[in-house]
Amino acid sequence: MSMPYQQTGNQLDYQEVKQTKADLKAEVHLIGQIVGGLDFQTDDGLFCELAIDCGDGWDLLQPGNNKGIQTQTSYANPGQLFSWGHPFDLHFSVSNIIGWPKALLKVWRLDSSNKIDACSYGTAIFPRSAGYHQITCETWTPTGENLDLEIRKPNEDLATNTDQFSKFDRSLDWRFQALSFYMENPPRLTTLAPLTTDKGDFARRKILNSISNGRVIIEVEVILKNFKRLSFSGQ
Amino acid sequence: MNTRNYKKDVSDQGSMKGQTNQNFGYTQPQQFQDGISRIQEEMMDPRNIQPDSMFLNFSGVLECGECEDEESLRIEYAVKYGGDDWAYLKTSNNADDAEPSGISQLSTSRNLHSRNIVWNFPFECNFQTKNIFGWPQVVVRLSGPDFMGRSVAKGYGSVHVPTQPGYHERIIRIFKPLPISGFTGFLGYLLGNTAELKNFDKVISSGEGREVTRVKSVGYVKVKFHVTLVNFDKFGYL
Repeated sequence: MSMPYQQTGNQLDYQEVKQTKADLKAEVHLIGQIVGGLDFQTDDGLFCELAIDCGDGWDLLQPGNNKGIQTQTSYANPGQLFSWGHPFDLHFSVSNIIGWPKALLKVWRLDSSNKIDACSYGTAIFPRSAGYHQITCETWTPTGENLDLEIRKPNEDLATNTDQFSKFDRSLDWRFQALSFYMENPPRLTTLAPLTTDKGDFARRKILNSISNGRVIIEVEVILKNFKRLSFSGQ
Repeated sequence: MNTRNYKKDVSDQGSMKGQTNQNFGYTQPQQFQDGISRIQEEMMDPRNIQPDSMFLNFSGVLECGECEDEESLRIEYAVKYGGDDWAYLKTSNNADDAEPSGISQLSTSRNLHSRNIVWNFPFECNFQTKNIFGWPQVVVRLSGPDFMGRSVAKGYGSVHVPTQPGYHERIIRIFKPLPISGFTGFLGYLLGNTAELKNFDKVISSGEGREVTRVKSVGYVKVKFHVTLVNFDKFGYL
């Protein structure tokens, strides 16, 4: 970043402008910690998996490998925080601001026979203004599907084709609920597509039925570079 | 500066007697008499100099905390930062100032009704950096006596140093690793080898390889930070 100092004031301004244009790329640093989970009413151990979902114009510079985060398994008394305390440090170079990073969270449960199973899902959007933020992400557990909604062809209107859409919003839920009662585990999502907004399969989220679950707390410090110079808000 | 006005005799070419006037009879105008030209003054103005690194200076206090049912605890901290771009600036030449860390006094809660343990342990660190990646974190370890009086670890936790200048308060959530089985735990309790983390500062600050550990939440620690950032705006941040 150091540049040779020029003799007169005018040349200094010109050099600074040249330097500024050369590295005038917006960069975003997300520095923080997955603190823990609250209100998951279970005696088993819980751990959280986090995957970063961002647009095409976002380039993850550091850390080099984006293999996702998996926290430690934590146990807690009722009403206590399941503490994961997993730090993360992400450095993005932004060429297109579309697709601000989101954290796709998946909370897993480790029961007493050392078997792991999915507990709940959530999507947390990272804040867009510089500074310290505490994000609380409410999570939900899928309980079943409503396949009748899927049978309806895509472009048909709900109001006009009354014989095609299901009057019962919970029509096939009982099958999943019976199975999860005997198997002691809830149904799992096959892909994380229903969690993101722009990966195509998000529209299938309407066939899901879900039940509310606990919340995941994330603390993050957002540092923005060159946002003010490029007239982006937030810095 | 030689400001004497010495008129040299043109006919006397070879004589070097006495001082010659280096300026050949020219004296500087009055406003530059103090020896600095306007250009040099502009060069020395800090607003015109492009610095080559940023500095982070923070100080703070590890104030107080609670850990389930513990009466006496000591807190140890270490500041972990990204190795390549960051440099820790020592303030003294002591051997224990090589890396930013410290161990506090052993403190006890005041009475049976409150489990709040006060350390009021101050710290201050200076860092020089060219990159934000690897922002420092404060990693803490609580330790105290077990039933036989041996010093064992009671909990760990970490928090990032705040990135905005000014005064901030943070809460560090403390967790304790669980033993692998009930028998190991019982034996460890008797022998003083409770489940602990070796190199706790590296393990907790990086997050690598923690997928297989099992922990339990045990409490919290309150920290106060005061942060000053230098040259961050010249690099495009802030």
